Amino acid sequence: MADLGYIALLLAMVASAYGVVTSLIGGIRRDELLALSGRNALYAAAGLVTIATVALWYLLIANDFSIDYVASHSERALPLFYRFSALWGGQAGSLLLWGFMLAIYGAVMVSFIWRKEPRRGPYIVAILLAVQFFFLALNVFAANPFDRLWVLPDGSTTGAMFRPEGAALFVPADGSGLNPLLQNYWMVGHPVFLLLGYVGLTLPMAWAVASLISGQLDDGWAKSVRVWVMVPWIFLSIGILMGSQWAYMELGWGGFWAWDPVENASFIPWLTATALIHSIIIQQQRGMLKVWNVVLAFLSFWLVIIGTFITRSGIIDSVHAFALSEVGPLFLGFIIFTFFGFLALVWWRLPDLESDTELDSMLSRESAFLFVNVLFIVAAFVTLFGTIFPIISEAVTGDKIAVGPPWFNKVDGPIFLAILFLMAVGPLLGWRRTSPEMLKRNLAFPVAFAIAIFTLLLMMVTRRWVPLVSWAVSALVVGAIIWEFYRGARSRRKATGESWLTALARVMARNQRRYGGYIVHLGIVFIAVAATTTTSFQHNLKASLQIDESASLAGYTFTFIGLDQEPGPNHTSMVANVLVTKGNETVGVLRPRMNFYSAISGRDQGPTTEVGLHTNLREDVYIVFNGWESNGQLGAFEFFVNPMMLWMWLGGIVLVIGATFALWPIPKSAARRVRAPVVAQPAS
Amino acid sequence: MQRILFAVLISLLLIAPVAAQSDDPYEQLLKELWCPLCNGIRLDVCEQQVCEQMRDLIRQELDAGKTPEEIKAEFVDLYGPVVLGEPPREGFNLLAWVIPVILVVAGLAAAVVLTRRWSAQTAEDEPMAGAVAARAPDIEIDEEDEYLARVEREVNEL
Repeated sequence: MADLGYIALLLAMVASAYGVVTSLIGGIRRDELLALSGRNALYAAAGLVTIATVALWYLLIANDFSIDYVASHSERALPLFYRFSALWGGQAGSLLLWGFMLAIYGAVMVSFIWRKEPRRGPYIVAILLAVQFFFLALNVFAANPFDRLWVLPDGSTTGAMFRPEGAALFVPADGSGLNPLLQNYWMVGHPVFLLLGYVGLTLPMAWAVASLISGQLDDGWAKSVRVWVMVPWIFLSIGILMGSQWAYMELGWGGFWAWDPVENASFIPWLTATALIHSIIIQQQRGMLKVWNVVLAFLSFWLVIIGTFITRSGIIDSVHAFALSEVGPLFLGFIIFTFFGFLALVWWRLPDLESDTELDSMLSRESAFLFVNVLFIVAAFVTLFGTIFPIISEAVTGDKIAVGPPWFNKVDGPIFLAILFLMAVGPLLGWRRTSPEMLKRNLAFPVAFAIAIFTLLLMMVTRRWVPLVSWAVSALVVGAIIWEFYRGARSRRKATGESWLTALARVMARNQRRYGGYIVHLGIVFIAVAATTTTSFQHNLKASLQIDESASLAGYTFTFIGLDQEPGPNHTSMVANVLVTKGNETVGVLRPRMNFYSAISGRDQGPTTEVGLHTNLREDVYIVFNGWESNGQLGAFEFFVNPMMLWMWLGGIVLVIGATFALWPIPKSAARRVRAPVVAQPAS
Repeated sequence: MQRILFAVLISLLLIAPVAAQSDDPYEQLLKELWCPLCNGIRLDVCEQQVCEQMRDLIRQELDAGKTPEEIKAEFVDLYGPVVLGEPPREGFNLLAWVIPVILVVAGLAAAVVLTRRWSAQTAEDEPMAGAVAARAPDIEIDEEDEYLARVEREVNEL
């Protein structure tokens, strides 16, 4: 099976190389047959990578410990579910998954667009296959998941595909286990969604580069590329939120985001991809920002590669970073090569990238889009700068410094606030120009709404200005969204006489992108409010409690009632039972736990914690169990009350609903069935 | 009307002073210091041995009458600037604070210059904006919101 996987990898590499060459030549010479052959090579490579991936899954599920990767990332006692997810538990497997996803994405996209894009198509295939080739080469030359284990004559073991001089095959009795931190439901989903986002950002890049090569720089590409940016963007958003949820549930420090380099590496391309989603709308509507869009499409892809490089090459120390040097130089070469290649392409096509139209007024939706774009890009670069600054500083001064949450909150915070503000004002501006009167009329309701919320919170909740300002601006956005839904429904109702609900539903169905966008904005507001509120008003307390002893925090009383030992499939859990009461009401018994894993990788890492959580719309009660003494008579805890935390995950759901609504193909006839009710009503 | 709203807003901002976050200097200090070993974990939640010792030391020194600022400075000497969680605002590390500001200002300035130049060109080239209207006929140049107009037009087309 390992041979089959390896041969599939090699053949996929050959097919990719062949497809790059034939597609390029086919595209340049407009030779349909060659181009078709290139496309078929892409399908063939996709099939072969799928075979390799399935082979690795088979080896993992069959517990074939003669394979180095299986022996170091799995064990007999590992539940089937986690044996499946062990595919992305290590570097070689993650890279294979990357290649697999790219193959599937590429095959799906190419099958959709091939007929519609006779000129760009071959170049898109060539770009996709070039990236595919790079990842396959990494798997074949630097991180082969199919390496076997060998005993060398000196008694040491090593992983290699072919027999080293004088070595014998080695099959350990059991594997060393999957990293315990990865044995969590969120951690199974998080890498998959994140990778779907990362890998998917290759698609808009392929569109941009293919448009540059073919010289087809009209607004058509902005229209066609939209869905291929949105889909990865949705996955990336889910991936990031799942990662936060995992950090919140597993790491036990009461927070959801630490501005860790690996987190930043996922957030930076999210920022540029978000900018791209907004700026392609301007190109579609007004034929502007052409250079900007191809640059953003490339940048999002390139920042994914950079992020992967800086976090996975061990340059930056972080909880996630495993130092792996073999892959590093290849990545660096790829980063430099793609950068200069892209620069040369843009330089060559610059004369064709002039805007069709010009801006009419500062007070227009285009200018709001432009400003929000600039802010997204600045936020992305500031975050990147903060992530790498510790290395620069240490190299120059010799002292280790930290660029942590206080810095990021102070620097990124105001930028995000400005973005939120534009999120409120932008949609109220018309394309081209808006008269101040029009703006005033549209702003009246949102401003009144924001002032009402602000006043209410000021009097009832707090006087701290950071949360107050953030809430007020969030309220402004919500007010603007409500207003937009209202006036859309109102004007349709005026014209057709439909009921409010029908008018709203139909106006939404006719303007999916617009209203889908507002729903996404609403989700973002939920997340922003949750983040500000929980960081500003978190309560926490460390306490060691005897059995039946209590501690109180923020109106809650916590009583330690005893310790249980629970066996798991490959670990033992120590579970603390904590009775939580509020006033005279019982909230429930929360059961935070510590898991002790028996496999080698588990013993190396020490126990993992899983918090005990009680959640509602108002606040989370969150308990971390840190250890026990005196035979379980004394437990060490950290208690947290995190206000409005649930809104963050709700915001994620709202965001996905909105983005899906914006993309969902609603048949136009359904939206058009508008006359029937009008006719059905007798004219009064 | 607008003036009244504006006045209300400003006066509300003025009466919203920055409130103290915590009354207890110990709790406050723990929230301002960071674990020297972990990435982005605050001193009050960290489980490392070092942080345990740091917390004890802070308690002792506060009891002995030292000010939070003195304790902070002492910790920077002991463990390095890492405990601040952010780069110190001096020497080379000042760049960490200056460069983001430069980036923001440069980005916004570029956007302002671009919008200015574009709108100036439009005014020169197309005083009647006829060419633009020809390219995008569904966009109203009128003050009426183009979007509402479009909704109505769509309805009429049916």
